[in-house]
Amino acid sequence: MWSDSVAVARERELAIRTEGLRKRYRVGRREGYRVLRDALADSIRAPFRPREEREDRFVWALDDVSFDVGRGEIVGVIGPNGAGKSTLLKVLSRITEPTEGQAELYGRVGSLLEIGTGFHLELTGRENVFLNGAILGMRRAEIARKLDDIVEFAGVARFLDTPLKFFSSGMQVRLGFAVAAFLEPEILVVDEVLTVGDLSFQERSLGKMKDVASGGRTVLFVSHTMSSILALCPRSILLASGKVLFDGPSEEAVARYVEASRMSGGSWLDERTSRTGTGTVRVTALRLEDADGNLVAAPGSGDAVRFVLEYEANEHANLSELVVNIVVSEHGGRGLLSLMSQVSGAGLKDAPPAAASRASSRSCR
Amino acid sequence: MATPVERAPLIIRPSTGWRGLALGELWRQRELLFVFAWRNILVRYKQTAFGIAWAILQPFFLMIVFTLFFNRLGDASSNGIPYPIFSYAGLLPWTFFSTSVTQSALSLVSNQNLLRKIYFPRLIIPISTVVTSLVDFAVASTLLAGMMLYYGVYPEPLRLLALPALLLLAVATALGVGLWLSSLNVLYRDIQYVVPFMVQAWLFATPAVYVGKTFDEPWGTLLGLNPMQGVVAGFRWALLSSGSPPGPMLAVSAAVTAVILVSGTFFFRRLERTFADVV
Repeated sequence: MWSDSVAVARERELAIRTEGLRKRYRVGRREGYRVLRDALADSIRAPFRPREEREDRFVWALDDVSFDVGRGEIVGVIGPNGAGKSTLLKVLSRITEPTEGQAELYGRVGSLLEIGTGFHLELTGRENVFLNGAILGMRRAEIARKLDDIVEFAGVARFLDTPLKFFSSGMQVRLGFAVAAFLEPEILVVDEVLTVGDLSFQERSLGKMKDVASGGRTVLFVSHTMSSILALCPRSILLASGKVLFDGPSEEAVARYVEASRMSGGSWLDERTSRTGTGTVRVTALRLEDADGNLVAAPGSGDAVRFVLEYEANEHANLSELVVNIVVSEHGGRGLLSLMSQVSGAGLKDAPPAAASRASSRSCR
Repeated sequence: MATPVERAPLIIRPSTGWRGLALGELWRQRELLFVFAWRNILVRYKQTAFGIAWAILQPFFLMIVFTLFFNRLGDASSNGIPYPIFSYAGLLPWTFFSTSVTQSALSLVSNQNLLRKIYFPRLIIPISTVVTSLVDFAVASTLLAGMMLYYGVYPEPLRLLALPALLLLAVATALGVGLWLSSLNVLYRDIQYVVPFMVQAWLFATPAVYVGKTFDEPWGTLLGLNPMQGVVAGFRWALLSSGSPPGPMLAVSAAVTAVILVSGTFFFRRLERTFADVV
């Protein structure tokens, strides 16, 4: 049967194919984890109890997930918490078995679900590099050859023979990322790992990921950071409740994700009840528009957008000194953009009591 | 960069029932096995003043305790051999066995973070703990050599050839028991409370520090149902020329060990697929 698959793989240079992957977990207590007493008690009670398994005691973390990834493709996986992203990576990296369906992987797989897996605090930096590298699947000779580069990338050369427990937490994650960055599998499966370290290290990490990506490797990349997804992955898979909602260009996947999370999670500003401040001016809506006034859910890189802010104010409020400040920050709270009316000098003198204020930005990256 | 080699794809699908042992994969990943063993050795004696000397000190102190209380204050005899060396020759394989079983029983749970985050043949974990204990065994053996010189007890050279086989029997027994206990411990943490008691009871059932009674046949041979009985008797026979050659008893021990090891490996492989979800 797999000879057919191989033929197809050669034809399309397939790297990953999943067909109807499903993974079921038990809700409540974790699957099978129990003390012997429970098992004995169950087996005693069993004859008096109907044996059928109730479907509502289970949750499908993956529910019929099928997709193909070609060799050399960089594919993002996005979705809300509990969508099944990590479960998908765990199945593909063989940590856990699917309940149904199958996946085919063409090439040596490296998986990176965590930074510094297996690190031991009592061991030195050098010892941990060898330990972690071996766990990730590198040969000892390979690690020895790359040691200098790894240490330089992590910037921990002076502490190489110091036990890891004396490293700062930032140094620990940098070392962990550095080892992983020098992994050279044909297929790389990565969970959210680019949010470690400080700003400059994050940027170097992103650069390193880009190198990995351009080196012809196939990458499946889970992230909650949409900017990283858009920067790295031309294509993304949007998961929700274990199902593939969308599979296509990242811009669209991200837009749909943002749209979906606004539908489910966010509430409309004018319905919001948890407000602080005096209430003299209330923001009732904030939206993005393109130049023609159409609503934009997720602006693409390099697009010009207009922030439209609607507000209402007390009838007697003095709005002659109104200042509007719009800050755009990343998922992690890192500021990207700040638009301040007093800086731009936009005329907000004697603003009307209820209106829409418009501010434009061309630097939405 | 190396060109990707055309090869059969890795197929991931649900497995059912008993699975093969995948020993080929285990062999390809042998380097990781030694890395884990190396880590265990480094970690075990980190921030201790005596370091790896503890490998000697543990059986040494046991020997002192047993000499004092069993031999001097009690009346444990030792077949005419100085009691300290008599008991140490038994405690040496015994200590290997008990640390192997104890450590490997806990090994999967204590490495649960690895189980949840990365794939490798899970058999590597309990096997590497047994390899670690082998290093301790080698270190502790040097004390036995010293004691033999001190007491002037010299083995018959030919009998020493039996030692590797006896050690192999101890390794296989420890691993077999460790595979059963480590995988069960993932499901039922009760195991970790049972293990210390079990090991202690096993020590008393094994004539490591006393001279076992001689039984009429077939009972004498059937004592080999406890594989450590065969190992300890074999060690004494080979090193101290004490007792009769434990041939038939060892055959029974070897058979029992083979059953424990093979069943333990299959059982481990069967439970392996749930480790990451359950641990």
